[in-house]
Amino acid sequence: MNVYQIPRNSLAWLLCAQIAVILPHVGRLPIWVTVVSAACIVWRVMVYRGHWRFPGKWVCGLLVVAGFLGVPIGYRTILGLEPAIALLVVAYVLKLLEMHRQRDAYVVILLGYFVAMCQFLFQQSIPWTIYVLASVMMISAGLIGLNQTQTHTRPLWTLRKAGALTAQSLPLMLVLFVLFPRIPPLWTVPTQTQTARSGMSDEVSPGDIASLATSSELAFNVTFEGNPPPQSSLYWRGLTLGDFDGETWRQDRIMWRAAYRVDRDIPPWAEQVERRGRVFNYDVIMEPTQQNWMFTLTMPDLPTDTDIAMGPDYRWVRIEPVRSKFRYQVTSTLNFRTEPILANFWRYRMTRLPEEGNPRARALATELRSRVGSDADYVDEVMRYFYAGDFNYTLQPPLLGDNKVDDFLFETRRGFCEHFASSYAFLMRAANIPARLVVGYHGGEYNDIADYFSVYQYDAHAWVEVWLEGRGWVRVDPTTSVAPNRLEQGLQAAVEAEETFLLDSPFSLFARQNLILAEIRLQISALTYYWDTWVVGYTPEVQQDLLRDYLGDFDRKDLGILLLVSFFSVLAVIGFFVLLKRAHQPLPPVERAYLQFCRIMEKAGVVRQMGEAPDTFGLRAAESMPDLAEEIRTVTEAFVRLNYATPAADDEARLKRTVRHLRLRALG
Amino acid sequence: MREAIERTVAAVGGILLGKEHEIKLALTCLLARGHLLIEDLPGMGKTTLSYALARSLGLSFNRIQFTSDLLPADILGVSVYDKDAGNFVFHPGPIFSQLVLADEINRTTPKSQSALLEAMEERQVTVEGETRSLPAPFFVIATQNPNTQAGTFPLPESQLDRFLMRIELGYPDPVAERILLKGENRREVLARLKPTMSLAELTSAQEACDHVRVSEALLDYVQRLVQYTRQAPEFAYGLSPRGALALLACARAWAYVDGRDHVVPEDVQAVLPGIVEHRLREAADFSGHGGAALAQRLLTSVDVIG
Repeated sequence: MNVYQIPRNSLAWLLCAQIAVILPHVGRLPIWVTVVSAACIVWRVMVYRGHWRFPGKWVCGLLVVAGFLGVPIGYRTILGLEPAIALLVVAYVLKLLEMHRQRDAYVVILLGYFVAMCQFLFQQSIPWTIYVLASVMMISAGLIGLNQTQTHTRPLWTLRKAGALTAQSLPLMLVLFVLFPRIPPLWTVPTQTQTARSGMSDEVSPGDIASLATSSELAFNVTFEGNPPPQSSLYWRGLTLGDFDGETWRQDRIMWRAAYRVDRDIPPWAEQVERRGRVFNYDVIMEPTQQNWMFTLTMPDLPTDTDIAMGPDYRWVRIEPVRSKFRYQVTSTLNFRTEPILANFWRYRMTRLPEEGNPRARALATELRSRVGSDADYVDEVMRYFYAGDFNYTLQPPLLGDNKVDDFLFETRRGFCEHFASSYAFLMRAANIPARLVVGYHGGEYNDIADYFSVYQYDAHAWVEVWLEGRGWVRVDPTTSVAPNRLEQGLQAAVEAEETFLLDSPFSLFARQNLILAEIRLQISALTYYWDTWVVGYTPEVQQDLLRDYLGDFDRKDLGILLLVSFFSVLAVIGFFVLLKRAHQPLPPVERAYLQFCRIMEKAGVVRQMGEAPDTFGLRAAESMPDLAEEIRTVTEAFVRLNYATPAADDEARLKRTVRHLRLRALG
Repeated sequence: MREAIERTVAAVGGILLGKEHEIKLALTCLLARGHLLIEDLPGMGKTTLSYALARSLGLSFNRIQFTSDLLPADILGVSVYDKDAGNFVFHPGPIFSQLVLADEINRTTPKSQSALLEAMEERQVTVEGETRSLPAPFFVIATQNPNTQAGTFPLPESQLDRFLMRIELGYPDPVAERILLKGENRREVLARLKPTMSLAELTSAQEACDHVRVSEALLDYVQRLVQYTRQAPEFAYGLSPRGALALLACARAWAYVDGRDHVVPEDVQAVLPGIVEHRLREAADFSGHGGAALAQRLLTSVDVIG
């Protein structure tokens, strides 16, 4: 029995590709799937090396049943992204064990492409794109190897071929990427069931933001149209916390009942905002947070997108959580005045404090308030209190007891921005002045290569907003009185003396201190920014806008025609270069005429074989077509004389004449 | 001149029946001033071919049977003390002959093999510090038996390269074999064989081969062939420039034997297997016997015009 064997070259690449494709998923898969995958690959390698045999039918069947029952049992569901991928990976590795025929190998290859693409559901960064391209190259090498003979044993040659193939397909990919209509259900990333949350949460107790400050992860990038505002006024407002229970500040959920959406009437609180001075337009690309809030400079305009709402605390919120990179445009006015009269309802909620606790802080508030004549003066008085008092700004605040505000104000006096902000807001409320905590980010690192700001997690900040008669809500940042550096030069300068800044990621700390590395970091950051803007951020809306810019009004048909035309033009260009490489020099006229003769013979039924020399072919042709024997002989003799021997004077003319004559006879 | 060649082919063909192509190849190799390696089973007419060639070309002939205890001195010769003359006298070995048949060359030790191979390359031998020229023309036909490899010392690639051509004789076709079986003893026919070509004719034929015309188009073809062996993945390594030169020289000689003053692609194709088979190795094959298939693939993968 002649058993088909998958070429070893192909098999080796398929195994390599399989490892490369599964590896990035390992962290997301249950451990048993990883173990089964490794076991299958080892088994197949042992088969490949001739040590073990293929598993029997029963073993295979058992493995398949176990795998396909194990996934839903392990996840308790079959729906969702992770179970689907686990199932796919199980199928992918088990198919290895019954890969006997060419058809099976094709299945494994197709599955490989599919699993490789699944990586993009989780990661869309440049390094991962390169990684996926590399694994696609390996799978293609397996595909090429499958069509090579058993004797071919140069795997690198195969990989080079696969590389050329992948490189040729890149322009086509680009055309499809730019032009292919992005139909919503296909381009919506399925929900992930488990994801790590990063960034801030919607409640703040002392110490939360300090822990963020040790993270160098990117929060969002911002591009301004025109000159950006000064660094110190970049207060990226995230969310307001108006509910205090003596320890933790939380969002006031009631806010959301009054939220504005584009399809509703403009509420009174929005109408009362008075905007003055310069308008800043900017573009934000947010990293996924799994939360709803967005970051804007105050005072943002009313949102115009249907999936964005604005609360009565003037912040933007997305209806859906931000699960993948999210891009939005905002217009803000830094100089503004909010509602001059605060409704009693809000005044009550914004001055509410727990009945008991922190008695010394309350006493301090009463004392300070009695010293000054107005609320506005009291605001300054408390700032002065912080300035004059022996307060320290630190990333490592000591633990506080039950009365956190008292402990901080009178005992430890060491804290991070949220300590200052929360005790400041407490002192305001204790004096019956409406106040709320605001968390967000402050500042950002300007990248002059691509002209944008990067805001990192360590830029996280907390400050206070108080409502003053006639002025509306006013921002107060008590941290400035203690650590003015924090606003001018960022966090690093403010806590320079401490060594804990970014201690967890020594490289980023080092990179920030070394000039060359800093430059490289900026370059990489700029590259990532462009990538996020133009590749990851190429949403259906961006596509529509871009196409409308260039095409004017278009419908699906125009797009289809454009797609086809560009697709085939790219193919034509690639084909042209391939042909150009092959036929780098045009054939001399004699050989052209002879090849024409061969084509005529081919139509007449005698095909010149590859490598068949003219004399041999001439004899064969003349034999099978006796009525053309004379012409065939003339052509052959003339060609051989012209090409290899000493030609007679009229040989070339005779060759061409006879070929013409033959063509006419063939036509007639 | 032409007739002399034709006469020789006919004369040798009268001894070794039905092997005209192989005889012409052997003659081609001789005209191209190269050495010939015949690889075949015993009793296929290897010795007969070389002996008949020697006789009909009027060359002095010696046969060396290679065995495992053969010493270089047995090939090259040795100085013996002459008591009467009172000095050493050099007794030339069997190598001092115009046509040498080195039978079963892979049976002897590499030391003795290299003594022969050096003589083939240099066309002179150095014994006891004295360099002696070998007769001209000097033509070695070596044979080896491919099947029994026990107790042999296979020639490495570098030494195989010394042979311009390697051919196989193969079984005769039934018609030729019938004549062989019916006819008289070949030894006697061989003994009666008269020289068909003089030494001067042979030398001038060798020179004439150098002047066979090679066109640009043909050189293109040869280069495409060589290039293919260097690029295609099934070849472990490509043909060397020496291999390309050998191919061209043999194509010229073949064209001359065929009676042409120019080389056509058929000439290249006729000699190509004999020249490349022992110089190439299949990438997947480590025993080195895939050469024949490779030569065929080369011929059917590279077009004559292109």
